[in-house]
Parts: sequence; C-alpha cells; structure tokens
Amino acid sequence: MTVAGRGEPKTAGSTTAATPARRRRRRSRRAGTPPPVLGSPTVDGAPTPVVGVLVFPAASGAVSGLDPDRSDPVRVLPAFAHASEAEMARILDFYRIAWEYEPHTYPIFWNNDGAVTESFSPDFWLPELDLYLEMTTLRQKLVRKKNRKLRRIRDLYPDLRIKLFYARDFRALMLKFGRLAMVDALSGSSGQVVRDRAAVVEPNATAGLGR
Amino acid sequence: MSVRTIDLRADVGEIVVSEEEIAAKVAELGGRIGADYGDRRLTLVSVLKGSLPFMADLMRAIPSPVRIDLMEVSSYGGTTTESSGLVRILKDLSATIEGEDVLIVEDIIDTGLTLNYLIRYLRGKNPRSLRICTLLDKPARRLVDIPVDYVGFTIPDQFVVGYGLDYGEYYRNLRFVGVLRPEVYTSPD
Repeated sequence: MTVAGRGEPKTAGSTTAATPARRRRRRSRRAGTPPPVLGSPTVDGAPTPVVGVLVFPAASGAVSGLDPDRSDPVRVLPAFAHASEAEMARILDFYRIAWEYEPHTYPIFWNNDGAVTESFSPDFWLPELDLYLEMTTLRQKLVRKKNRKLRRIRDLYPDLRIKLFYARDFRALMLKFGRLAMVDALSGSSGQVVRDRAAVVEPNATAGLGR
Repeated sequence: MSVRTIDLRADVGEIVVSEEEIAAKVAELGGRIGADYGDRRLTLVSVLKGSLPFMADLMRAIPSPVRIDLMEVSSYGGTTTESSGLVRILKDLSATIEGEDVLIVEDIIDTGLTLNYLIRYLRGKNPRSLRICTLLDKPARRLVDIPVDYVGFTIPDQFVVGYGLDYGEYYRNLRFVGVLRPEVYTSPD
C-alpha cells in the first residue's frame, strides 16, 4: 500500500483511520464474513465510497426538480457509524445536496519512518459545496479526541473547509425540523447502533415547522 | 393526554429584536433597496409562511415599483413531505420572472439548505437579477454559504419565534422576535 505524503488525502479504501465503522468492517472481514455493501470493490478489494447522487438538475437548464420520482436515486446506503450520520444523510438527500460518506482520508501523524500512524476521515464530503461535515455527537471524551484531530488537520490542511456538528448543533437542527423527540435516539452512545429507519421515526414527533 | 396551553408572551424569554427595532430596520432596508434599484421594477418573492409579516412591511418601505409573489417550499420533517423524501415547491410563482429583477424575501437564514434549493430553482427561470434579503441571519448554523445582499439582524444561535417565525405553527403573530423558552419544546406535552 502506498503511503500518502503530507498534504495528500487518500481515497476511501486505502485508509488507515480507525473509525468505529472501519473497525467493525475489519473485524467482519477477519471473521470471514463479507463487509457491508458499500459499492463495487476497487482493485485492492476495498470498498468504494458511497455517493449521494441527488444532484439538482440545474446543469441541463431545465427546472425539473419538482418531481421527486425523477431524481430519486436507487442506491445502497452505507453502514453509517452513527444514527446521527444516517439522519444527516436523509436531510442532505431531502435538500438535494450531493454527498459522499467518508470518501477521503487525511493522514495526520507519521512515525519516524514516514508511515502513517493516524489519519482522519471526515464523515461527509459535499462536492457541490466543497465542504466536509463532521458529526461529533458522541460522548464528551470522544469529542475531545476528535477536536484534537481536527486541530491537527486544520494545521496540516488549512485549505480544507470542515463544518463541525456538535451534539448541540444536531439538537438545534432537529428542533428546527420539529424532530427534537428523536434526538436521544440519534445522538450520544445510544445512537451508535444504527437502527432500522422505521424504528427511529418518532411516531408522535412534533409536526415539521413551517418556516 | 393534556394539551399544553400556549401563552404567547410568557413562552418567550429574552426579546432578541423589539417591535421598534424591527420597524426601524425595515425602513432602513426599504430605503437601501430603493436606492439600489431606483426606478427599475422589482419582484419581491416571499417564502411562506415565515416571511409574510416582513414582506408586508418591507414592500411598503420600498419606494421603487414593486410587485409581489409568494412561494412555499416543503420542509424536512414536515408532515406534508414524508411521502416524497425530497424538498418540493408547494406553491410556485404565479407569474414569470424571466428578465425581471427579483429579490427573495426571507424571515431567517440559518442552515441555508432551503434557500440554496430555492435559488437554484429560481435561477432556472432566468431572472435578470436575483438577490436575497433576510430579516434575520443566524450564521452559526450555516451549512451552505450563500451571499446575502440585505441583512436585517445577525442573531445568536438561539431558537427564536415571532414576527412570522413559528414553533409548531404558533407564535408567528408576535410583534417582536424572541427566544422560545426551552421548556416549551422540551415539555412532554
């Protein structure tokens, strides 16, 4: 495996990052079970990034975004590491913002031999907006660790645009969309196991706000 | 199950923008817009429902010749949109804007997600120009960076209601903008 130099991101599949999702995939591969379906395998057998393909059809000049059936993609969603990430993906889909899940990995620490010892994969890449989204809705201890990584990545890659979503940000977003009742299920440690969508939809959730 | 009583004034804590401040800002924005557009005809596009009071006041503060139109865009989590899963135009423009100067009138911009969709939609209708005016800007929440031409107030990252802004469709008729007490939306009822 080639090692990305400083300032060079690696694409998904060549990562050394150890997110919970990746640890689970590695464990499942070691155990002889197939990894979660994320797309066609690349030449090294690693999964390709999963892409949100809802691209607004503005390029054609036609205003055809009104018919949801015409642009509703058929795709396999990635195995999100956290339920809040799955919810964010649904929000981005709703607003027709194209996204990719953890497509890039940025090395942030190297050993004396130049080998990458630690790297960072932002959760979402929004190519149309040239923006990464990182969800940090986990426990405070993990948030501190992630903040340290983010400081490092900003030092090494100052041109990257990364928007952090802390638990309070996610809560505010859910409040805006009238889904505050879902926050407990989607954040913190309880949100780490991705539930079936039907299970996380709050049956008595506050009606969506009209603003 | 008991239904929580809505007390329009008591449910609001701090007043972020008073009625008087709104009136002064609307007059100022109207003057600026009038100076920028002069005698050119301008189409104000109000995004329902939150921007209605702002639109009603702003249009009367602009000395330029204006016409108005209304649009409504579905919101994530809204009951009317669950089946589609995609943002939709619930109410489209009633007249063409091709070749026209258009000013989108918003009550608040936070994530920018809805506005981003709306801008791309309206650009497809080939207006001569497309600008944005918002009474409130909450940049801390921004996901999509959108240049805003006219901003009334930049407000902190708090959930506000009043002057068109709602919670559960209520509080829009308050004459000021205030922070909704958290116990209102965390109440089990």
